[in-house]
Amino acid sequence: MNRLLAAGVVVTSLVTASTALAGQKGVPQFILTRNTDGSGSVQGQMASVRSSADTAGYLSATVYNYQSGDGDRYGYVQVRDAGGAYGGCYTYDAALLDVMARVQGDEFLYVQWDTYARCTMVMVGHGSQLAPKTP
Amino acid sequence: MIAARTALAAMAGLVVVGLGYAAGRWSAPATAAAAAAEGPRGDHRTPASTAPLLAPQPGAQDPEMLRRIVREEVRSALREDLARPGGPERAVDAAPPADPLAEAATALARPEARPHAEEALATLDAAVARHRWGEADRQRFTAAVSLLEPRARVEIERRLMVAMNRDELVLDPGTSPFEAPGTGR
Repeated sequence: MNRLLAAGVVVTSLVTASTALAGQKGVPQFILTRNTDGSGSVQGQMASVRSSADTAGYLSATVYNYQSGDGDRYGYVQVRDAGGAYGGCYTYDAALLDVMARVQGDEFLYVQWDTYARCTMVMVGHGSQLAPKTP
Repeated sequence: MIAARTALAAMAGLVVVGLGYAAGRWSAPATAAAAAAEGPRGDHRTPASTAPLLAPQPGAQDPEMLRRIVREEVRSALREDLARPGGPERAVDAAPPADPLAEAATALARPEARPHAEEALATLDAAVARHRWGEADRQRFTAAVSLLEPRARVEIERRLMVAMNRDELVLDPGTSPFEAPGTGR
């Protein structure tokens, strides 16, 4: 419930930002933060990462579902920036996986991970100012 | 508890997003050309927080005095703990949690698959020793882990990811840890 509330706040804040300037178009920066202990975070939008000038950067969220039983549903986030720096995390957490599975190309994604590459937070933001992914 | 922590983290994320917006990261208006030019900002490595726990606050007591009080409280607690029959239980309780990666990932694999787990880990260890992850490493690693059941594979892949996150491994140009994005495993 708290996650849903947080997601709702994000949506509200994004919509508020867009109504202040009707027709606003935003391009979230693609920011990979890597701490010395291995923890880190990434924020970015799939579409803008894809449309950036470099050909190295990417941002992906993948969810696997297996029929076999407990522990066989997992997901991971991978990110690489233009400079080649890499970051990522795994999770078995059902709520985080639900959010990861819903990520679309025009959405804003923010992910945090701990020192053991375990995802600790996944946030998806929707906003009219975000451009859809294009070829 | 987990939900509460996540909510707090989400709020922290909102602050980040808000700061990003305030700093112009969420720039607007923007043209398609500007969007194309808006690329990754490189490695924004930041050190772990070094903010003092007892940073001076307006109207607060003398920070040095507070530090002395805390030190004395800690010493007192330790003395009581050591004096307790049975030894310093609290010290044991306060020890950092076991490294989850220390769990033998190979134990998660079926007995017949353990050689593949060991091969994947050996590939990873050798790469860490070289501080590089190249295409040959990726191929050998993915071939080995592809023969493991999901849980064992994830735990071994997570070790690779930890090594990447900690800069114990550097990707060769054009190499990905597991697979090229969008191509599947």
